[in-house]
Amino acid sequence: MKTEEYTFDILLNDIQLEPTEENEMNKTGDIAGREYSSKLIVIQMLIGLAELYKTEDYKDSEKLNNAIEIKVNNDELLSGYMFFISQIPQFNYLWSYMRKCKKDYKEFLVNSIHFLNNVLVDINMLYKKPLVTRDIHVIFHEILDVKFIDEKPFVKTCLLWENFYRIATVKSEYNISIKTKESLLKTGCRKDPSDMKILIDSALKTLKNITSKKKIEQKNETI
Amino acid sequence: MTIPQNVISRLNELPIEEVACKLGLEVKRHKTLCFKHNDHNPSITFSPNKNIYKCWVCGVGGGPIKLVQDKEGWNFQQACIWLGKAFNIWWPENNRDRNVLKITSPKVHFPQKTKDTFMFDEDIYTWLINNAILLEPAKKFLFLKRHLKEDVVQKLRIGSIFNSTTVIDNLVKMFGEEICLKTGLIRRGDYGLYFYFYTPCLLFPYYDQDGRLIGVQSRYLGTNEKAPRFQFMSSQKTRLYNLPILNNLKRGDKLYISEGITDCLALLSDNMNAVAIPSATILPMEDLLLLKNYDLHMYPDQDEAGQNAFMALRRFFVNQYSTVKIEKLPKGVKDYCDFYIKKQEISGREL
Repeated sequence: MKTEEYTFDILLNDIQLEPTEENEMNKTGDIAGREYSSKLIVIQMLIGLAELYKTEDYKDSEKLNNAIEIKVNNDELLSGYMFFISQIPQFNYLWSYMRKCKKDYKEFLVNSIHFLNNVLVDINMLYKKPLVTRDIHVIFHEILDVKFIDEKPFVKTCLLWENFYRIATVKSEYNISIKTKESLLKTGCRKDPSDMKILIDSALKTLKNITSKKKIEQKNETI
Repeated sequence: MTIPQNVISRLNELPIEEVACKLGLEVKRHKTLCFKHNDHNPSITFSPNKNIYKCWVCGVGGGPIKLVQDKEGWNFQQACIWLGKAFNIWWPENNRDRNVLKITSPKVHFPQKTKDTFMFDEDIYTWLINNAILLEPAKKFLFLKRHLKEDVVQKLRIGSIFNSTTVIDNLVKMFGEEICLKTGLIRRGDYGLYFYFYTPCLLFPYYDQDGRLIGVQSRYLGTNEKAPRFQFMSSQKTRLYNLPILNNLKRGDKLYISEGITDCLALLSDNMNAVAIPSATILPMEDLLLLKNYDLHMYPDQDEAGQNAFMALRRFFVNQYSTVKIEKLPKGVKDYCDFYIKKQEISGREL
């Protein structure tokens, strides 16, 4: 029985173990490889933060905003780095621009935490659903591709590295696509956990229709 | 100053793990390293239900107030005042102001935290290593029980100490009692001088990349169940074992990171390049930085601590733009050493 939770640890493990072209290129040390390493640092940091703020308390946006505000503002190394960057001519020696960046950065962290926490809730809801099989995979905001497998932990997540930049603009509301190998079953925007449930139920219905249609077609062919 | 009984009860009801954290102890899964002895595997266990702690090696234990006393070396009153301050619990200082909530800082001179003042004297420890000859029972343990290769043991200059009295006498004769006591290798107890490492034991010297002796770890071989299996003396708190191997490697060469010396010796005996972190919970960050340009692999122990150590290492190396690849052990073996011994036994039987 699927009783264990899919956790951030497993998610991070999945992301790092999944062989990707970019990952392979890492060995040759070219630009894509270097980018992969940098992306991995960012996603590791975001997953670490999401794990830290996954409790019920931080579902309240204001509380999470405050927590991140404290964390970022108290990071003295980051403040030093901001000064250092602001002294580069391209940034026109402007502290004010860097301060705005810091504000946007906090927003990015808060949104990413909401996104990752919500995705984890969705995955845990999905994989316990008996009808969700290995035929289906669910793509969250074109960033995370979740497949369902027969063996533990029953879920396998890949990060779609080529779309990694989308993480910078993700919000707590995000797009979900439910697919099979051949076709797109359902796509929609997820605003709260009930939306995920509606989407998957509808996708399963569509899949059922497709399968029975196929069966009829096969029967007709044999006749 | 008397502390009201109800306040004492309240202080003793403070969550023990939170008290430990405030004292600077790192609590993971209800465990932490013992502050009373040189601990490398967390020996202190917390029982949140009973709200007590206990070290299974040196036997210290008790509730929150006792924890503060033991950790800081303070008396009962000082510990209560510290707890009160740390958790915002105040009480009237005397009968006259019983009903007044006193919010000024308690006037207590807090004792300075005692620091481990032992110094690692390279000469003394070099002498010790040079004179720690590998005796027959130690050879039996390493070569027959563990199937380690003789050239590996020899290269790493592993030795053994069986008679601590002779070692103490010789050390004092060579370097003088005062210097020996300063190193912490010899200590003074109620019954005179004693040797820091429990004997009989194996001694594993730690060298840096330049071949300088930087630490010594022991592995107890006796039957005293209360003796810690591993003890460590070092110029720094934590170091990697077998750093000189890096001199023989070039960028991109395969290198294994093992959890503890035992697995490292097994990997080396299996003709693989390996270094060891002292234990699953100790990551010597500065030394680990030296490894970032190698092709890193790890066989994590098949327990929670092993998995956590792997995750922590991988996290560390991701931040250095590097990776550690996981290697899986077959089912039923607990670590690489266990795997290696089984492999050797099978090949021995086949021969």
